[in-house]
Amino acid sequence: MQDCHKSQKIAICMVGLPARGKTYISRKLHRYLNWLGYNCKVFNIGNYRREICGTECDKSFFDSKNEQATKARNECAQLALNDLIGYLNSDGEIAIFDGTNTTKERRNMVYSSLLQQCQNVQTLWIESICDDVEVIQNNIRLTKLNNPDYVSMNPEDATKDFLGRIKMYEEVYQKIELDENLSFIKLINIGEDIQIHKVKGYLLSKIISYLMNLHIYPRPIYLTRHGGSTFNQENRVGGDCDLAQQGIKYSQKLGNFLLEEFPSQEQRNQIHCLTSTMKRATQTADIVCNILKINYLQLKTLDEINVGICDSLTYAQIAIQFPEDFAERKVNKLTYRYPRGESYLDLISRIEPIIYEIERSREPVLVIGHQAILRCLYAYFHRNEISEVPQLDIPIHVVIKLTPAAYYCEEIRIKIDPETGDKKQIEEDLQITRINILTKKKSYILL
Amino acid sequence: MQELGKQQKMVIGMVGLPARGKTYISRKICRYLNWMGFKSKVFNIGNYRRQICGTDCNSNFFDPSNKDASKARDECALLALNDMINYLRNEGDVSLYDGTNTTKQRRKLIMETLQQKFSEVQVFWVESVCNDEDVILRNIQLTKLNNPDYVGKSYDEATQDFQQRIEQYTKVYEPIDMDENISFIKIIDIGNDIMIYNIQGFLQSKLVSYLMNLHIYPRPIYLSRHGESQYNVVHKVGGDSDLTQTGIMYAKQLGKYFIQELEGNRNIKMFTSTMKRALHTSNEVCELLGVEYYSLKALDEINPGICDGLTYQQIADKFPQDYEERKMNKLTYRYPRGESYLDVISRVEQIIFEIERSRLPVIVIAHQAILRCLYAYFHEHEVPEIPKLNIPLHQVIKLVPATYYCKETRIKIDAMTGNSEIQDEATIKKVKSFLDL
Repeated sequence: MQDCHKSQKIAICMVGLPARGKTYISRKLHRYLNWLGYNCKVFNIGNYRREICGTECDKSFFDSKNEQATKARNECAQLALNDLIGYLNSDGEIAIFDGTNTTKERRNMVYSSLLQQCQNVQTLWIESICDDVEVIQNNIRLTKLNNPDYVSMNPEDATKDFLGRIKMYEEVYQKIELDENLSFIKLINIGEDIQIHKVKGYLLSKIISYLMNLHIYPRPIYLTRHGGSTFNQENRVGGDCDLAQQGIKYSQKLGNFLLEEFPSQEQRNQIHCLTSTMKRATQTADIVCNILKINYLQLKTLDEINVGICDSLTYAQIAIQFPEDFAERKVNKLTYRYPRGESYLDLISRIEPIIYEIERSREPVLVIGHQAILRCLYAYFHRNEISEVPQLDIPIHVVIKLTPAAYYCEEIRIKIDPETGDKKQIEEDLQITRINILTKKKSYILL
Repeated sequence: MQELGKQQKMVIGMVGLPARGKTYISRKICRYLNWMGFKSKVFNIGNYRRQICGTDCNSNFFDPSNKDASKARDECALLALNDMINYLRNEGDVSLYDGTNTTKQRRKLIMETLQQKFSEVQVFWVESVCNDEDVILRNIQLTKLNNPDYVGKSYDEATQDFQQRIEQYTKVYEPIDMDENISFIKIIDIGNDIMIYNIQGFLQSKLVSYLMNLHIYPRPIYLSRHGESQYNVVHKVGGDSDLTQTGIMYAKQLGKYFIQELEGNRNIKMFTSTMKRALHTSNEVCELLGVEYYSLKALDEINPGICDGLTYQQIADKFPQDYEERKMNKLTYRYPRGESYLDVISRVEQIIFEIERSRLPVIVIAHQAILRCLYAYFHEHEVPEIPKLNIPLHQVIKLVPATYYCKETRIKIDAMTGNSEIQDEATIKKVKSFLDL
């Protein structure tokens, strides 16, 4: 779908006081848009400020009356903006400008620069407003105290200073108004109230729909493949075969595992269980949901990738019968479409509504799917590059538990032995690691 | 998709001054929900008023200080409300309460009545606000002057009376406020500004996305199947065959038709599938027109699974049970390893959004089952009718959205001669009379 809509570049600019979730939203959008296949990048003004002015900035640095500091901060914003414009003018398609942008003057500066220096750009302003003190305190605790700015301080002092910093911003804060003539969306109190002004176009509409579904409930997401099937054992692709004995045993052990994860029936009743319409998946779901005493939902959109003419063949047979296709797929596994079948890109397009559903859900989600499908889903949550999707490791008889945390997903992989029910936690190298506060390395820019 | 989230019954209440597009929006929503599989119905308070109080109500009837009339109008509103609740109690999933509901008091009354009589229902309000005089005048011309209320009156008389009616409502109008504690979406100036408050649940999210894409540009939509394919000739289903000679000729004639039809305008959106017969047709058309098309897998023909490449006769012979089952229940029957019509509807939904959103003319070159689903959406057919809709080869269906329905024209194009035969089914079938709503 996205090829229809790559004509214009898009600049998304955040607006809001500190600790209002601007970076959270920028990163969510960044992940979503990258996953859809757009070249997207976040430009965080705070990072530029830390590099140039150092990290020893206490709240007085943010005082609008501090002329020197203000000048420095404006320079940082300008630098970030220049890089952003450079990005859009080359191969970038969507750029996200993550900063407070709390004054009309600053917004005007950014908007005019974009219009002047970027060819053919659409802008969208996202303002996050929150007056819930608890939420703000929580944000500060989760994201600011690990911030390089507060490396040497204890949590109490850091919080006090940060609240002081927010006050500095509040003094000059001007909410977006209609006379600024900008396309914007205001998210108030985490989406309880949403105001949209002059938003047109495919991608902007999509972004709005996406944002409406975000929330900050830390519900867990469990991803697992169906139990081992007869085709798995024979190394065949496609087909609609049954579970093998091992697969049945795995399903039972999986059910037991989930019984432990959710000790009370009340908790279990809240689980949303999604599976495909294929026998191996529904049989697994049957067994698991019987043990948990819940229902599951069958969705054709979760069916495994359609392998067209290669259905029911082994990889060896494909190599012999369709040598050209076999070679082509090896080279370009992402875009290669099986004749009369699908490609990974088609899959991503197909399962997008599931992503929305999972994002929207405030209750635990269990997806019993297939390898290619789970690769796409997992890549979205784990922020993988789209080119990595076809090679991601999603083995049989492993449950992946994802818990969305501040800026990343905590991931735990549990390998369940179908015979014994033994659970082994596989240590996963979190690609998105927490800030290494002792070394103050540049790794935090990657976050 | 709709089953996710243990769906509650839902009431959608419209709010707004007269001539703000409330009926237009309620009917669009009703159309969309029915097509998606939710049983929906619109309950138009105006109709109840016309039935009970007659159609001779001039603007004085709507004066808020006219006590008798106010009482009568309240009664009508409650009657409509009762019918609505009954509908939901029985087979309905969603009811749309199409009325002005312009005062806080009226909205409160409805919320309280629903709480009392049917507490498990979710309520969602849609307010349409418009301050553009031109748009309002146009609305009056297009929809009110045909209204039974103004049957014997002249154009000027009717317009004047209606504008006075609007003034009566304006005197007491209270836009939805956040302190009323209700879930709502405010659509201002046809979507220029949108405010959303407290939406909850799968269906409300979807509706909001849907409403953001609506507009009132009367752009035409052209639906056509690919030209005749090799499988068509031997009556085989599925496959990825190419066009026959006749099919290629049709494609060329189709291109010529569009050249004439579009009158030099090349600002259009063209969608097709990834299958050879559709791509080949689109290639021919686009070469003549000089435009580009978008090839979407979502428009691929229904997947007949194990029946791929067989004729209907062969299917009847090899899979007699399936053949029977499909005859009985063509809508829900899913080919083994393939799809059902319901799966196709689900798949094609994103195309509906694309077409709704587009303000440019849209051309879709696709396949029979796909077009049946698309056509049913625009032409307001009942979902069970979809598998039997008539979408023949070598015919273009032109749909032009008008006020409450789509004007349809079918153009048969002879592949050899290029002669076109126009069948105008414009106003016959689908002008729902106001009393029918």
